[in-house]
Amino acid sequence: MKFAFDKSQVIKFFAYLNKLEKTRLIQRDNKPNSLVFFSKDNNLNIFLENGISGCYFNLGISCSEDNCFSIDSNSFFNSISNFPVDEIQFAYVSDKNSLILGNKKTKVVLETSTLEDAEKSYLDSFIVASEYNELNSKNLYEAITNTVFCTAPEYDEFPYSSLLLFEEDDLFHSVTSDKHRIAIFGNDYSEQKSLLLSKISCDLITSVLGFSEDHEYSFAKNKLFIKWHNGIFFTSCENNTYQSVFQNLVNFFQEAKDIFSVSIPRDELQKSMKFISSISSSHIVKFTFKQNTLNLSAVTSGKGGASDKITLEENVIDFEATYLTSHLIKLLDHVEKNVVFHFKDYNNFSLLVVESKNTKYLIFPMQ
Amino acid sequence: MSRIYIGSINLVKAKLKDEFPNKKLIFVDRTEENSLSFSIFFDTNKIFLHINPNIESLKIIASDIEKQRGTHFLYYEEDNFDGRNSLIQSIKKSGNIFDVSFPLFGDVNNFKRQLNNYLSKKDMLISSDAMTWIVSNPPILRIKSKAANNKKELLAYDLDLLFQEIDKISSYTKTINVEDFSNCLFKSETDVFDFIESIFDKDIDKVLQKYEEMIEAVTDQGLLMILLYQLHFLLVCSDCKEKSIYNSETVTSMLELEDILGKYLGSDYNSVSYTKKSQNPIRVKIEMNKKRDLSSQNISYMIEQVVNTIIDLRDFGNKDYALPFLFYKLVTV
Repeated sequence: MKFAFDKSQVIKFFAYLNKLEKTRLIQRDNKPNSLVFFSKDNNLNIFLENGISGCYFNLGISCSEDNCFSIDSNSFFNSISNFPVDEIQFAYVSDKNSLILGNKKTKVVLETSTLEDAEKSYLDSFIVASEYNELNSKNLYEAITNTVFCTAPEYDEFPYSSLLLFEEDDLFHSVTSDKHRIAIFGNDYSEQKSLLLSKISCDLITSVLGFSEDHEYSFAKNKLFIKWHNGIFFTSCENNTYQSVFQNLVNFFQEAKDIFSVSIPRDELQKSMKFISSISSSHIVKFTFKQNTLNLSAVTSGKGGASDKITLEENVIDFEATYLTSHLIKLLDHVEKNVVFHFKDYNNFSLLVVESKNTKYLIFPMQ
Repeated sequence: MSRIYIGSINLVKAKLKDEFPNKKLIFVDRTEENSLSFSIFFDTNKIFLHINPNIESLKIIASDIEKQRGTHFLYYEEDNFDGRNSLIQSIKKSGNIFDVSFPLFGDVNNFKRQLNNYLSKKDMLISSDAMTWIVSNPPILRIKSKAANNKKELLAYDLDLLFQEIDKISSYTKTINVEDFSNCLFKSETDVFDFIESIFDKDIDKVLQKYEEMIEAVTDQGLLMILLYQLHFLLVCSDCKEKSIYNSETVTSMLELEDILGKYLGSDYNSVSYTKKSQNPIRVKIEMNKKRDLSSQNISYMIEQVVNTIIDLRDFGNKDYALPFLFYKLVTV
C-alpha cells in the first residue's frame, strides 16, 4: 500500500492522537502499537483508542490499495514531525511488517503490527451513537474552560476531581469544586440529568473543538461522542451518583449574607498578588480594607513578608480576610477586567464571591 | 479523641458503620495530601481512617487533631506500630485501642461465632456439613504479634477472604452447602501443600493428575519455588533430627539463620543489611514430630533435581516434558 501527504496538512491530527495516547488513564495490557491506519475505497483513515478515549480522522488522502496496520503512535509522530521536508511518501510492506516513509534523500523504516479487522474495531469503538445533536461548541468550550481549573487534583477524593456537566435550555452548564473554591457556569445544578468528566477528558474535549467550526454530539454507553466533517472523538464519562454533593455547593451562594462589594482593577490586583507572593514565598494573602485602600500582605509564620497597596475608587468598610494566593491568581486569569468582588459572611467565615462571563466563583477563606 | 484499630479492615469498616451511621468513612493512605485538601466546610462529618500511617503521617494527623480538623482514626493490620509516638501513647492512655483481629487458628468456637454472626447479619443459613467442612478447611493467614515482647508469627482464620466468598455465594443462595465452597479462592491455596505432600507420599498418579491445575494457579516457576522452599525447610528439619536436635526453638533459629545473619561483614568490611525470614513455630513443631522416610541426603538430591529443572525451564526448556520428568525423579527418591 502506498500513499503520500504534506506533513503540514496532517501534523495537527497526529499530534492530537499522540497527546491522546499519552493521556491514557489506564494502561491496557501491553498495547504498544495503537495508532491504526486503515483504508477504505482507497481513502486513508487513522484512529486511536485507548479504552478511555479515542479519536478518528479521515485524512482525505488516497492510497494505492485497501490495507490496514497499526503502529506505535509516539515513534510515528516523532518520525514525521522531525522529517526534514514537508512532503513525505509512504509504503507499507505487509509481509515485512514495516512502514517505509521518506523521499529521495531520507528514509525511515518503522515496525508495524498486522490487524485482523481494523474496520470492525473502528465500527465497534466509534460508530456507537445513532443520533447526533448539533453542538454549540463555544458554549461547551466555555462551560469547561471557565470551571475546570477549580477541580481537585487527581489524588483528591472523588467526585471533587471531576467536572459535572448537564444540559438545560439547549445549553451546557457545569459545576466544579475542590472543597476550597467553587465554580458554577450557567444555571445552578439541582436535579438535572448530569455526568462527570475527568480533567483529562475535559482537556481532550477542548482541544478537539478546535478541529472544525461545526460539531455534533451524542451520549451513548457512558461516553460523550463529538463528530465533525472528517472525524469522531469519544471520551468516557462517569454517571453522576453524587447529586447531593454538587447540589450542596449552591447553598453556599444562597445562604451567605452580604458584607460589602467592591470593584478592584483585575490587572493591578493580579500584579500585586504575584509580586508579594514571589517575594515572600508565602501561599497565603491577607486582604485588609481601610477606607479607599486595599492592603495586600503575604502572611508568613517566620521572618520576612511583603505588602502592597491598591487605591480603590470608593470608600469601603474596614475588613480583613485571608485567602490562598494561587486560587486567587488562577481566578483572576478567568474573570473580566473590572470585576466586582463580593465579600459574604457564612457562619462567621468571609467568603469571596465573584461573577464573570456567566460563571459564579466562590473562594473559601483560609481556616 | 482518636482511636487505633488493629486487625481486619473489613471488620473495622463494619464496626465504624454501625457505630457512626451518619458519618462518611474515608480511607486515607496519603495523609499529607488528605490534610492539605481538608475543608471545614465539607469534611467535618467525615471519619478519616488512616491506613498503616508512618511516623511522618502521625505528625500530620496529630497536628490535624490538635487543630480540630476532622475525626481521625488509625488502622494497623498488625500491632506493629511505634508505641513511642506521642499520638499513639495518648491513644493508649485513654484506652482507645480496638482489636478486631481475626480469631487465632485453633480457636474454633470464636471462628464459628464470628461466622454465624456474619451469616445472621446477611440472613443466611449454613448446613452442618458445610460448617464441618469450613472448620477443617478454613482460609488461613499469618499474622505477626508483639505479645510478651516477642515478635512471633501466628496463624489466624482469614475472615475477610471467607466473608468475600460468602458474599459471592449469597448472590445465588441463602443456604450454604459444601458444594458452594468447591470453587472458592482459598481451596486452591491449601492444595499446593497437599500437592507437595503427595510428592513426599510418592503418589505419582495424584501428582500427575494435579500438576497442571497447580501450574494454572501458581505458574510453573511459582510451583517449583514453593517446592524448593518446602524442601529447604524439610532439609533443615531432617538434618536436625539426624543430629538429635529436637528442640523446636533451636530448629526455628536455624531455619531463620540466626547463626549466620548479622554475624559477618561484607567483602568491603561493612555490615550487611538483611531481612529476617520468620518461621511459623507451630509448623516447625508439627514437622519435628512427623516421621518421614527421607534422609537429609535424599532431600539434598531432591533439591538438586528441582534446581536443575528451574535452570532447564529458564533455558527455554519445555514444561510439558521437564515437570513430569522431575516428578517421576522425585517420587523415586
